[in-house]
Amino acid sequence: MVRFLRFIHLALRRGLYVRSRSVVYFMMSIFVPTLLCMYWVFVLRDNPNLASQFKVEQIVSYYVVIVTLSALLVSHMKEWIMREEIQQGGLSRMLLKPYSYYAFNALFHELPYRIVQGGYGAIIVGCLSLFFPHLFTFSDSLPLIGLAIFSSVLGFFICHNIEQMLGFLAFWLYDLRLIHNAYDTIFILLGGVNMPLYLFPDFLERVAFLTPLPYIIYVPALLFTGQAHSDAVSGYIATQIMWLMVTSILYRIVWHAGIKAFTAAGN
Amino acid sequence: MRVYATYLRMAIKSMLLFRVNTVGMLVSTVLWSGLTLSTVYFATRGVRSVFGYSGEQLMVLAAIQVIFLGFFHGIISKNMERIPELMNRGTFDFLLLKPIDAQFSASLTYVYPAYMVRILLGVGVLAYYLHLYGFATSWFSIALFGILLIFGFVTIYSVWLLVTTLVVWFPQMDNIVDFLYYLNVSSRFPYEFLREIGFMALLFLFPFALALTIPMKALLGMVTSAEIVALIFATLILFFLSRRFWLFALRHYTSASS
Repeated sequence: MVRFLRFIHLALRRGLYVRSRSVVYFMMSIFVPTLLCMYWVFVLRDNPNLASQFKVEQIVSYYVVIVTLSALLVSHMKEWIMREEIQQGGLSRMLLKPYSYYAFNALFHELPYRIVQGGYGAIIVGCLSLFFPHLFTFSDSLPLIGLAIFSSVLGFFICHNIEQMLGFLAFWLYDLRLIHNAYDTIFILLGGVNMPLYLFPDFLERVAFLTPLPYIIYVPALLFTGQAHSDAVSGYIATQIMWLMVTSILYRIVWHAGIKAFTAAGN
Repeated sequence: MRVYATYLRMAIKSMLLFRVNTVGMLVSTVLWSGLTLSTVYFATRGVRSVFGYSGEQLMVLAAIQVIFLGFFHGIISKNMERIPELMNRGTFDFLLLKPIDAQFSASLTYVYPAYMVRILLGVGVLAYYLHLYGFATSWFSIALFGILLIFGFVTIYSVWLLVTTLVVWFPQMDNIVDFLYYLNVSSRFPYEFLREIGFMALLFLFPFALALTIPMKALLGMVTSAEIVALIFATLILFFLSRRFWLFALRHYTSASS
């Protein structure tokens, strides 16, 4: 246990060591949603006909929570796995260690960054909701907040699994920019990063929910802001668990197949 | 000019040599353009007017942004991405030793013709919207649009250079260039939008919005002479500042440990 805590302590120190980089990454994650949030506020001001579809508090709360959750939950490790672990052979060193590569990546590589960047987000949410409480509507039901936290944990692991698998493709392919770019664009669109899926045409919203992408940050955001229909909550959580199982199984298959193909540096 | 022609020849040879990379870049750039256009399309559905613009005019601006970013990423951005790496590894010294201006060789060496597809896509969407919604354009407005877009290009190039130059003092912040890609998103909104947000945002993001809104207004025949003067003035000031700042930073560059 002491060894484990020391491990976490070292990981957090590592995350804090590159604070300036973390600030820039955090600014990246808040910039576009902030602009879009303001855009929607002006749209509602200038188009009273749209006020029946959504409210200012609803949209502001959504974007503030999305910014925090994307900083806290969205892993960005596919490039690192591809370049440093597989192409430059860093994985060889990791394979000799007496712990699981999955746990190492989740706890040591990703967690510190998520905590630091999520911390920035939490500070912003805290300050904004303290000074402008009328602009926000968060869920006031304790069980729903508990479910939202549980849903966020599930979202983190779904994203973590997908990102790692995308990185593992480097076991077989050299240039993954196309695949990574394709994933990033589709995630921004269908993951609810740019705008809430309920503002999309119905068919596109339905297509999005056929993928795991809305279950990473969109569903937790709906739960935190109280925008999810009460009868849909259990369905969301069940589907998240299903996606977590599917991505975990796929992760194991890809990992074991990849390790067989791995020839250390020179892959 | 002769040097740049050589860079272009090298770019075309490199594109033909690494064909899979080129295809990857082509598809990626189409996907990002699709994301830009679809976001604006969904965000303007059912919107009659916002800060004085119709949804269709915002789509025209989005198409112009796609064209603009095609040029910008094809000529500038990837070179700017290299600057922090060159400075961190000390290989920037090789550029300084060459008998070519360091700013020119650092920011313009690599050209990526694959981004032409983005320009073509943007032109197609722009032409579609201009035709579909009957926006009146003339040869004069198209020529003025082209000229102002060049000024907008220099404006954004200057802002990118100003920010990237900071790496000389803050080498840990090598991801600052990635942030500039996000700042480019603000050019998707008219400057009237930024004016509504407030002074600080105006100060920070104004060049991005100004760079594309004014060419768009020129194309649609909505531009005023004061706006044209403002864009030209902003371009000259920013270009001058970025050049001075770059030269100042070079005096503080201390090779690999900078």
